[in-house]
Amino acid sequence: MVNFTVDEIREIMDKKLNIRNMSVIAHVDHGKSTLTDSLVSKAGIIAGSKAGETRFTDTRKDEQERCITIKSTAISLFYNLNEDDKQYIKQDHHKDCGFLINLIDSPGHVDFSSEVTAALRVTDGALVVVDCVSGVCVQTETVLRQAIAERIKPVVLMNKMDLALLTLQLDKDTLYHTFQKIIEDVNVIVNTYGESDGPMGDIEVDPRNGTVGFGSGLHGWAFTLKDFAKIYAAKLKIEPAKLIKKMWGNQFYNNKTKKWDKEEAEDNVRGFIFFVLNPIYQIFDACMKKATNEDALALVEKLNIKLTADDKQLVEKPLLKTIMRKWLPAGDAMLQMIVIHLPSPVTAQKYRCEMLYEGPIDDDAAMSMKNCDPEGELLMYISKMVPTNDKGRFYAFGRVFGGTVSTGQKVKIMGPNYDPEKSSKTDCYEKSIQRTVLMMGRYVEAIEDVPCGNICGLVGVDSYIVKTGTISTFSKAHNMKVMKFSVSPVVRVAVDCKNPSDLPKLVEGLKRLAKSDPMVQCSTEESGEHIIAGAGELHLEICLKDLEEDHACIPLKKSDPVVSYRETVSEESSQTCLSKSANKHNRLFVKAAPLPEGLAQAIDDGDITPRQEFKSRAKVLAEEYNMDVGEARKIWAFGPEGTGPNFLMDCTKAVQYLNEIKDSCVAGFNWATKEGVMCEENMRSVRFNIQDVTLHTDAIHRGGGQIIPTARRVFYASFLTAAPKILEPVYLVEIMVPDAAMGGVFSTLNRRRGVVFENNPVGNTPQTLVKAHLPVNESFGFTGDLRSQTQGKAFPQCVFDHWQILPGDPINDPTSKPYVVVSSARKRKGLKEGVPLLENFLDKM
Amino acid sequence: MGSTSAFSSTDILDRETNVNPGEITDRTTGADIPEFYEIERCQKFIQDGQFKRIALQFPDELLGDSSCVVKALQPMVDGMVFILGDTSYGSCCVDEVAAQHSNADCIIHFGRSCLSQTVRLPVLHVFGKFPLDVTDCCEKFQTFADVNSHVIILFETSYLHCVRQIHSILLKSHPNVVLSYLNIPENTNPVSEDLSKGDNCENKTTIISRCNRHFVLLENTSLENYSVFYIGCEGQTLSNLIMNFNQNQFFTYDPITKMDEKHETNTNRALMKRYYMIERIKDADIVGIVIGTLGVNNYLDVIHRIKQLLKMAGKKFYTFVVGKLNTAKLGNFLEIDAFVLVSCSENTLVDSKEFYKPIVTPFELEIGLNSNREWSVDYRTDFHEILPGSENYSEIKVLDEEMADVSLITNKVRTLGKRSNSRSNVTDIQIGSDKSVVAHTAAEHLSNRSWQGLEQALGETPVEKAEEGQTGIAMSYTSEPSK
Repeated sequence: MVNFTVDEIREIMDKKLNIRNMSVIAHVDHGKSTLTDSLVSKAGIIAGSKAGETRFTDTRKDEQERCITIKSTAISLFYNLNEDDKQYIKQDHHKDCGFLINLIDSPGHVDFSSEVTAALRVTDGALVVVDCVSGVCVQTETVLRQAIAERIKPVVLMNKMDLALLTLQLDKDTLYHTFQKIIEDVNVIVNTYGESDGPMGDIEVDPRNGTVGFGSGLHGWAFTLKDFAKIYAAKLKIEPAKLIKKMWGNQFYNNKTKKWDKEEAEDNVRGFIFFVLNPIYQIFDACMKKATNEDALALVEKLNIKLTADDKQLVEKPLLKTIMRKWLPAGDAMLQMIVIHLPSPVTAQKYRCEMLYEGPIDDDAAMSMKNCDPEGELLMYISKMVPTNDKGRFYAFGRVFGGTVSTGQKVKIMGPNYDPEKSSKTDCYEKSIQRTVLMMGRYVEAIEDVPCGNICGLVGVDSYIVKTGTISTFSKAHNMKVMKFSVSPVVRVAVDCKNPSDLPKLVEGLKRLAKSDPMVQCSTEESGEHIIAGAGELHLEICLKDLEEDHACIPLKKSDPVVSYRETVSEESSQTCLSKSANKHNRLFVKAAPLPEGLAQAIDDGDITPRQEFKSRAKVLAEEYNMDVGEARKIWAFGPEGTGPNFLMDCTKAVQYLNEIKDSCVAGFNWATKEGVMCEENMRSVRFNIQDVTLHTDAIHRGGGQIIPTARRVFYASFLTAAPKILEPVYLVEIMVPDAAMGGVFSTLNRRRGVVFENNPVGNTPQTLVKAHLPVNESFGFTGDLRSQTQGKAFPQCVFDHWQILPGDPINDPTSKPYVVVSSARKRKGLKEGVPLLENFLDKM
Repeated sequence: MGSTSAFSSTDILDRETNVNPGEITDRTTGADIPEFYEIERCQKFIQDGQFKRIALQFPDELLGDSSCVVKALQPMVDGMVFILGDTSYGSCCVDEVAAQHSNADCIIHFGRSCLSQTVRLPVLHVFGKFPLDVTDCCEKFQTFADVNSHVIILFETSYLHCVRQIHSILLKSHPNVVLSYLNIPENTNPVSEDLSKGDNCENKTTIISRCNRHFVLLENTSLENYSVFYIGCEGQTLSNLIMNFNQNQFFTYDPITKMDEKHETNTNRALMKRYYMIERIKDADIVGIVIGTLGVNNYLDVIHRIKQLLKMAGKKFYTFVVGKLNTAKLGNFLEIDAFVLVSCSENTLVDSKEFYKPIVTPFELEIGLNSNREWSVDYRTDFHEILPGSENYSEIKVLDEEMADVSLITNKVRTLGKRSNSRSNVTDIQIGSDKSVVAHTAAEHLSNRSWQGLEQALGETPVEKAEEGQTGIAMSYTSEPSK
């Protein structure tokens, strides 16, 4: 650990070329936190006053109890690179000082992947940890994909080599091919989601470039090819840089002739195996397979590893650990990888600016960010809120992208709904920053100011930010792009206070909960229910616990978890529906139809948005979704909330005054799509075609009061005549299971309407990776059930995947599943029994 | 809603009023009109006051009997008797304004009443003696009440004439039954007067007065110990009482269907719904004040108070007088975020599911905006609660500083308390000249609309003489080509 005063830390912060902001990402249980621990013990910075206090990374009690990370934690590291290693750095750096690494350790469980998203936003590089035994898993792919979409450069660390060598006893060749397979898998993802010839350059990982490391977090050792190249360089009289190239891929070394060959032959050995794996296997064998430690100690002598007298008394595993740790310290290997290969803010912000900033790419804020200019306009993104010791208050945690943020500075705080183009300045506040703070693990240190390229916390702006926001001093600043999460809040639970007079406390608690988690949605429904929506059971469980114990501090009543459904249609309306306004002077003729397949998803993903220029959008809709170009140009609105996955289309011809009622129709459309007619769930993937309209000649008789309720009615009518269906959310489940326990997995999935679509053995292990689709509704208690069916050997990861029609008639068939869904939702919401009849909405000519 | 929103001429002529014919008209055949409508008491009231122009106000469901009542009453008095129907707001309220239009000097209000105090004219309430099977009612009472259970009897005004009898029968077997009394505004009702005097002499007891009703609790008991036995049918009176006595278990007896029912203690849910409304009003930037009464005492004070609250909370407001509410009328004001309805306590709870924007009560507005008030289960519908002089009155206190918090409805940041732009000196803003403060007005709403009215094109079009416009009725103007 390194001890610094705040002033010393502040000084390093100015050396922006020597800063690395990075996150550690991986699938759950691949060993992120263990690796992070070795980094912290190697180079963790603690402010002088806090030195000597207890462990750094343990922030929450439940994290330790459950052995999973729940919240991401930021820590700062300081590392001095050896002189001769500096040649490997390909970007500018200050020669005469060390490197400041801001590292964020993120959770691996899918339910908390919103924390990962928030971590990625404020960092420029990612250390992707992959368990070399189980390989690239679903969450590895998800987080890596997100990282690449955010233009974050990855480096890979193959973890758990100890497991491969000791438990699985893999031979050298198999191990090499395992590594190669993983690297290929990673690169496939990189190439699929990355931009070829994008501004980041080549971001494929390759051991020869030093972007892949190998090691064991548990044993505390790791290396890159560079480390071995250095050992042999002198002996073989080759430049280390050249030797590295020979140590991976189809490069074979003949020890007798001392020649290299590109083909495998009897008398040669793969470079990687000869130079890297051989010595490691030797040490392992010497420690584990020999009765005494003499052989091992001899090897140690040869490798010039210094052991203490105490160390020499050790045998077997402890000896192995000590030797490996002294020989190839994990901290150094990883820190070198980070420092050498991950970009500095100066490098990264050049190419990240255009995709992070929504405004013009040459305005003052953008320039300040692009140039990483501490003297420029302040531009900071708040990616999450961290609770303080002061109940109900939060640190706004984020990254300074441009300018310098300082205590007492007056800034604009812009929420995600702020639009500088609009005259109404909603979601924008002008406030002073009470204090800027450094956030290191669970410690917080006040600091006068923080220049761009760094990560810090702010005090006093928390009440103006719900979850995320942009902070700037530039008066015309635009927002930074809102983060997109890979998970959706599809599981909901209703909470209620046991004592009705505690209601204000509950509401206050929900507000705090909403802030403290990047994704959870807390809302009060019209029925008076208080709903918490999260990604999965575990996520909700943690949220409820936090709410009860930390945020509201009152006894709660919780409903069983329920799934949020969507209402949709499966056919075009069987008739053109007519509704008349209350004064009978206006008539709306509408038909509903399903949106083309995949379009709703594209809207969710932000590929099709209401903000796009309508002609180019129409072109995409016509080409990719077979919509009529003319119609596609006349999309009046997206809904609900003006952004949702439903369209209001103007299919009329030559209707007078039509533009006057557009606002009213859109209002009715947003209303109807927000509260669907069947059970007041959102609608999804429905297009409402306004076929014809007759309006009264006098503006006074076609005002909003006449049109809005009528529009809502006619949308409901057309919806009901278009074969309505219920959509349910479906998880993608990935289950790692020993072959022996496969039966239990299949039977459990079968009972819960799960559909297996992939079933692959994992590399050379007796494990199988099962991929299946499982309705979220059937997922409650799934983990526990699965474990009991497989004697605790199967571990599922569930992540929301798509919406799927729940087969059956939700209105007329009381025995069908969707009917039950609708009627129980109506009951829960306090609505009248039974879906309202078509006659309520349809008028006769 | 259908009937009130139809405006075209033929519709008005053909319009049917929503009356439950089976319910009322059968009951009041010619013979018992003097008895049912207490003609004698009316006559006495008129003679005592020497009124010359007497307005008889009938609710829609009793309008059918109005001519018979006039026929019976007119010969007995000197003055001129005439009928008021189709009241502007709720028929439970005394329609003073309509009466004043015809220069009436007193009003006799028939039928169910919300018992709201009025000021302008002398009023006599005749609730009508609706039939009730006393024996059956008492039997039904036995089915849910133990001998010792504490029960308050509440009732719809129409059954005032027989509740005393029921009470005395029940007292024999159930000593802990308490009868409530009506606070009849003019107190000219002899029954009520002697009832209220009856038990008031004891000092150790608690008198609970709520919803224009009062009752005396037995010694050493508190309101929470009681359940409520309500005589009357489902309706506004009942829902109003349930909201105000939300901590008590309700049992109802419907004299028409002779059904008894135990009401689920689902009032928590109802309260939560109202709490949602409070959140909506906190979210609102522009509030519409809808005047739903012109008779209830102090309604102007309440409007004044509401305006004061809104002003201090930095919200913009507009006042509307629209007569009876319907969705079409309020839907015309897209720019309003929420409405607050000033009306008598029974009409004030509007289930606004069909309305485009929520409608809240003055009490809810007060809880939402006055930070001296805390939400509790003590929910009232009577707007007098928020006026000086009521037992729970509290001074207006709005947060001095602008304060932001999260709205759980929109999941956006909202501002509570005074807006910074209401202070005149915003000089200490560092950045640029454009203030980023929120200023929400209806005009701003207009600027966000896609249709902003016809372009004026001032000076671009030649000036022309005014032409005669269209004439006729909205359905089809005379000049329009027939469709």
